[in-house]
Amino acid sequence: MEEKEPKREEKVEEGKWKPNILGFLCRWCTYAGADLAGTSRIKYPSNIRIIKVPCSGRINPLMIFKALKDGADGVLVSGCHPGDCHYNEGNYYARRRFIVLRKLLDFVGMPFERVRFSWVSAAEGAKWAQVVKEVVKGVETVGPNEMFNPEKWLPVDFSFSEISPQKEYHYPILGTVDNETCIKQLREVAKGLLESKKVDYIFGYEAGSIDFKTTPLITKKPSDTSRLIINPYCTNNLTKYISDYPSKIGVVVKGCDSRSLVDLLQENQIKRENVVIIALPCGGVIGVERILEKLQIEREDIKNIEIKGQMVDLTINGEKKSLPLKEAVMEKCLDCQLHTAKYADIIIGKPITEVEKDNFSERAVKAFENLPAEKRWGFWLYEMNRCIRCYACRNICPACFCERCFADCNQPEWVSPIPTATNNLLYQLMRIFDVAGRCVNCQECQRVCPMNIPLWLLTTKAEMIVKEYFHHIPGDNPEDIPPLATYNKEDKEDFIL
Amino acid sequence: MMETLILKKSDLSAFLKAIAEKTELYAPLTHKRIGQFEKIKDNFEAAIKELSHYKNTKISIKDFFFKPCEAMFEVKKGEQLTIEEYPIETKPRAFFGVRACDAKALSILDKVFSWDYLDSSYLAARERSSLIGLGCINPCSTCFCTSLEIEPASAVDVDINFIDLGDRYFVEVKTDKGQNLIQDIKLCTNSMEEDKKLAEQKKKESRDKISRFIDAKRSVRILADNFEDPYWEDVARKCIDCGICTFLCPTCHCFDILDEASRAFSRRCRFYDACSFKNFTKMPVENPREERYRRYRQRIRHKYSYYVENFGVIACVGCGRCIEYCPVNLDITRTLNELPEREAVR
Repeated sequence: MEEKEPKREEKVEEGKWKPNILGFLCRWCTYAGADLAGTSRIKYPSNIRIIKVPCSGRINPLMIFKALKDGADGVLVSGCHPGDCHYNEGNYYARRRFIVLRKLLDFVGMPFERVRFSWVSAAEGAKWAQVVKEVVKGVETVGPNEMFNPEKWLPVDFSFSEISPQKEYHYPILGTVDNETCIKQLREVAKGLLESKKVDYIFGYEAGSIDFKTTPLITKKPSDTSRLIINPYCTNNLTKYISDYPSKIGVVVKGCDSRSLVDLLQENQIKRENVVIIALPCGGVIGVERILEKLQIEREDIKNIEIKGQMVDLTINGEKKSLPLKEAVMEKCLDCQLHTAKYADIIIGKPITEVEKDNFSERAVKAFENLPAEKRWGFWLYEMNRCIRCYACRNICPACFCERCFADCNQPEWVSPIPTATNNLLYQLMRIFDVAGRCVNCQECQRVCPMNIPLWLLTTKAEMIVKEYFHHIPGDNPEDIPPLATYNKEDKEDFIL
Repeated sequence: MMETLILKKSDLSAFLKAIAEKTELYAPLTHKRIGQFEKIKDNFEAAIKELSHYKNTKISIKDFFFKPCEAMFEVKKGEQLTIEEYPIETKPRAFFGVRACDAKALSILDKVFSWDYLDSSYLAARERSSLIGLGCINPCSTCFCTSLEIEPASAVDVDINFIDLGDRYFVEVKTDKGQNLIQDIKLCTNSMEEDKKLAEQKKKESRDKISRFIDAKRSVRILADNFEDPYWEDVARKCIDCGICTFLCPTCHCFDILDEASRAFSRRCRFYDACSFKNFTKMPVENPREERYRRYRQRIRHKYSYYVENFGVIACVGCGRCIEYCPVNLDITRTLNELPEREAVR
């Protein structure tokens, strides 16, 4: 598949392979349990190498990824039984992370047998032996770890063209209802806020330098507010910039963007009193990328886009073409949960309250999950092979505000920055894991990806996981605690031994 | 010496096949809406179709000379550690369909890669490659190459250049390398005076279609002395510090070096780095450009000021990739055109 990856030197002779398993054991329970198994002379397979950790809550998926990437055939993470944690609740947090990680790994096609979790107490020497036997048996059935050897994987192409929106799209597109009045009002509001020193900065949109694009306007000057606009191409999620500015900010948000803002409030990245939320009621924005993908053209080919009722009229290289609105809005708009910001200070125009989801993205995810696991893995390696590691996905993401990103760490280096398919996949998986529960699926990462990697599948899956397992809707209520920063004693754990 | 010939469009397929028989041939192809040069072996029809309408490849030709990721040597375990350099490829190859901007970009990169240190990998890649340009007939709205003295329809820094005259190509053979490549391909005929006239006309038409401009001289002049201008802070606010503009840029050439180790061996790789990244040049101590505007300023000044000082040429070719693919539409032409005329605040 790719020339960049080094060839693996260690060839396994036929019939001589024995699984190499890495165990991360909590020092208080499972490690003591393993000790007990030893002192009790209980026999179990010797394929496991153990790393002692203070608590299963210490386990970061990066450790698991690195073990698998560097040649472990399987990884076992084991800690105290829920309720028994030496630190009272470390393993409850760990359990939530394991759930997200396990489901994400399932989604990309990592076999269940390669990454296992268990609870073994200090008194359960016999259970430890049993767990190791089962894990070894599992790894033996899936064979040597060739997951990160690109030569073993054929490119898989999966077309989403069969998944189409089901419901008619009837919301008014942003900037199509009474727009002149709205723009006038927006400019006045923004100017007033700056002049009265209620805010230091205004984040809004101004005309872009190329067709069908707008560009963020971030300004301190009241006179600049006359450049603010509203139109169907106001795609950027401006809340991304908020954590960069420790001052008072007036930010223009669509419904989806406001959910990112709520998310930042949940995470104490901003204080509510420092932000003035200027809401644009938004019935959707035009997904130029989606149109290009559907018609397999370039932006330069489109000369004109005109919205007429429920149709979008396009002029492409001199030819007229019409698309129904549901084929022309951004994917996320089909599944919009909030058209007008909930906690708005100022609303520009008439709020849109009705919500009717198409479940388009979820259907796409489910269709993809119907592929066999090895095809899914092949698909992601194939897609990620294109990634150039420009980090636009991370940098545009409002939920990515870490001072120092795992991807930038090089002592130790967790995920290699060298852009090979496997490195890229691990980077992206870790990024999605890190934003799971906080990602509002604004799909900015998808929009900006210069290599057109379908990241919306991963963000949608992350959203589905936290909804199914933790009943959490990201960006809904500023009082909510992000699901991976809390736990429930009753969390489902069907996959933990 | 410059010879001009004519190739019938219907003979293009035969021409490409003849080239491919002599040497490896690369031409633009598009997969998943990403255009890039790919090896052409038996997919001539696809290549010809692509050549008939492509504007420019998203991935610039730079990637074949200065690679996104390149393993330099390997350290092997044994009784002793041994270092094995990866062999440098010398097999000749030809690129068909290179645009004038990308060809110019390579001539710009030549200067830095053969400056105080001769970059063997880059120079070998240059040595083994013949470039066959294909003039732009329909430049993009983002192109501003004419402001940088590039003729969109007729590349200078190529071995052979093709200009589309409708039913035939006007072929300009510019170098001995180009001459050697096509001398035994008996498909071209001599050009007539009218062909030359038509070619000149096409060049002008193409130039006239460019709709985006900068004043390069003014930019260079102002940039020489506006390091402390507060303008930078204003203009860079929306930058998100990603690497799209640098990675897709045909002239950006910063790289990082990393040792990748596994149980059996380790290897040293070099791969693209970007001055917009927060952790750029962090390996010795710290990134001296902690604030975003310093990083953005570095990118612009490197192209329009430092490179000019060092090599006498602007390190920008006006291909427009950074404009088209910027996630926040931070447009370099806007930045340059709005550079304020004032004395630097010191």
